[in-house]
Amino acid sequence: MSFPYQKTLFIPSDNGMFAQKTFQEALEKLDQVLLVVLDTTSEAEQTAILANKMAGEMDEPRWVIWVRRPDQIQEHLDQLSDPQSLVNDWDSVLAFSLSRADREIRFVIPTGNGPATNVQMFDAYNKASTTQA
Amino acid sequence: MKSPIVLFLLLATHLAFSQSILKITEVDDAGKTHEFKSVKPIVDINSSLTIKLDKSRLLSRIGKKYNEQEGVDSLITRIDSLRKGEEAVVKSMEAYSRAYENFLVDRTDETREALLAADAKRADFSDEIRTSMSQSESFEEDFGKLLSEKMAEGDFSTTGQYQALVEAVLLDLERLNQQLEALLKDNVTISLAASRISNNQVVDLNIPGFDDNPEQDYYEVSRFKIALLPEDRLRLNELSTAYQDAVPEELFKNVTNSIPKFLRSKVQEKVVAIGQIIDQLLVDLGSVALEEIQPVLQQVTLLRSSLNTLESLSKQEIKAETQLGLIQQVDDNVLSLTEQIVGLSNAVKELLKQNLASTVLAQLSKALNKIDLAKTNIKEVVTGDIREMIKGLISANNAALLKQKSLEISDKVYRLSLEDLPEEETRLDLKVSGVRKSGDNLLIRLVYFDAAKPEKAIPLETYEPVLMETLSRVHSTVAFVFAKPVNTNIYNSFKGGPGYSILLKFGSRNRVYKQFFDIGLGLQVASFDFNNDDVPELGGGIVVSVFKDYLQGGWGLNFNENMGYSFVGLRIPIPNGALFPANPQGN
Repeated sequence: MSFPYQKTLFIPSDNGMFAQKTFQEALEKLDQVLLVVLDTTSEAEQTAILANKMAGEMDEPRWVIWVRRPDQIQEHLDQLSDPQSLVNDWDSVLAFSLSRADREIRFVIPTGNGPATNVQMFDAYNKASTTQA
Repeated sequence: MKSPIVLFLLLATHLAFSQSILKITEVDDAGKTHEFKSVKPIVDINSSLTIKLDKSRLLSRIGKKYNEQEGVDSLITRIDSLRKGEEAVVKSMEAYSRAYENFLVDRTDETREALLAADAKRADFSDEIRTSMSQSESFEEDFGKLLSEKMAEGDFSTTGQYQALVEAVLLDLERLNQQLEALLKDNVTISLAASRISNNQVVDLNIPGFDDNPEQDYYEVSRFKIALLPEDRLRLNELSTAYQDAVPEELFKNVTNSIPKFLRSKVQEKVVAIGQIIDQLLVDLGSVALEEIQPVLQQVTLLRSSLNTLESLSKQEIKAETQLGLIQQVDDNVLSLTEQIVGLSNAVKELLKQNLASTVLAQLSKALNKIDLAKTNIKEVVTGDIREMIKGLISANNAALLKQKSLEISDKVYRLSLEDLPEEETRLDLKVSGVRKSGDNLLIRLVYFDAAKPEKAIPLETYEPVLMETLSRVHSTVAFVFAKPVNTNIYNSFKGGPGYSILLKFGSRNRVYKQFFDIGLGLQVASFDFNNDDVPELGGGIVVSVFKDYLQGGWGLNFNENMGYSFVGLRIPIPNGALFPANPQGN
């Protein structure tokens, strides 16, 4: 993977409506396991780069969505299925993974501990790829 | 360049544990490798075997015998569970790699669905092992380090990540094995031994690092045997001489009937003799109304029933398609009959030691003499010509010796402590295992000795490969040939004579094919006296052989007469005397 954002979809940050539409369409049309990175902090940026790397080769079913302004899509985030109640407060979420078929939140990487580690990233993708939460 | 995911398929076999402690791989003369997948595989007679001992599996297997020792049971449970988990992940990784490769080749909804399903399965197994690894203190650190190494190497495939997971699990397994080894090291020693068994002779072989046995003489079974072997030359001479003395009109009948004749004349004759003895025994012992005699009487009755079976077998009409099966049955029955007679003899000897009435003892003593006579009769069958014929048709039966030897470990085989076991694979080269032939057995056994009972070997794994010439080869053979000229009305009768064939045999590892069919294709040279001038003419032709060359056929040209002929050849593994009985006229 030579390009750091080859498998990353950037949600536009300059237009809230457009951001919501893009995010919603991504959830509906990307038939992939998704790793969603939130915010523009340095740890978010490094996490997005790692997520892109660990998404595998182009044809592997993993993709990254980087939401640079989570507040613009807050309503959509709140509506996500979270059967294990992994998210209490979206402000403490650095990144999370979504399963492919039912779009459940499967793993959460919290803020405040620096960028995601490669083990966390592995677990995030792996949990989202499993058949059941 | 191939994708790392596809390359993984090539590496997967190295990562995967096999179920056995010993991983034995044969490397044949054509450079092909064949992993042992059964305990009695076919092995080429010139191959070498690489043997790798999986210490982890060895420890688990032995540990189960010492599970009452503190800490052993929990370690084994953990090791077994991790190993199973690791194997499942590796298998799912292989499946994913295949699905990915298929998707790259053919991008359809179907192949994508298959890829997604494989991804999910891999994730499920990995999730299970990740949960289990939360018990391990150093796992997170190892896994993180290995993941970083993969990415530093430029491997960003998901397969690389799962490989890192497997490697981290293996590191943990290694640590657990070290702990288990420390607990078991004073309890056991390990031996690995190999022998070759040929015609009931045992030759101990050298496995470097495991014994002090000398290497046997270098011997390579040639794949190109055009010159006749000494025994074949002798056979050719015998056939030529026998043919000269034979009565021509009886020849064909003699040959085709030779096998049934043999069975009738040898087995039946002995069976009848033994039957008479047994019938007499039944009468004699039946007259002794003693409870002690009853078990012996029962044995005699059983023996009579076995004799009846053998008698009916020896009378059966032998057809080509059932010939081998029937002979095998006769062989089995003769061997079982021998055991029964020996058992009976022992039972009567035991009775003779008891305090019985003198008249009864005299009767029993008389019975024992008769049983000994039966023993002599059966021995003649077991060791005589009939046995030779059977051995020629079915491969040498080393089963009893294999069983007996499987737990015998000579003093030259090292008893190694767990820490002294060689880490590297070792090599058993069959070319330095002495003179051998197709049908010989190898016996490779892994045993351990308990420190408390060091004299008794306890088996762990035993392999009994059968040596065969599995690669295509050229060899020569001698057969008795019947030929009939074609396209002529002048000489239209069958002529017999010895023939010599050079045959190309096809390579195969199919046991049934090698044991029974073993088809050959080649050239044949034979001499016949078609024109009845008492001077044999030279003929040559194309030959096809089946049933290990016992049956040959083809088309040839009589060079002297410039005349084509078709022929059928028989290579029958019985003495020439049976084929060519004494001339009834005595000339």
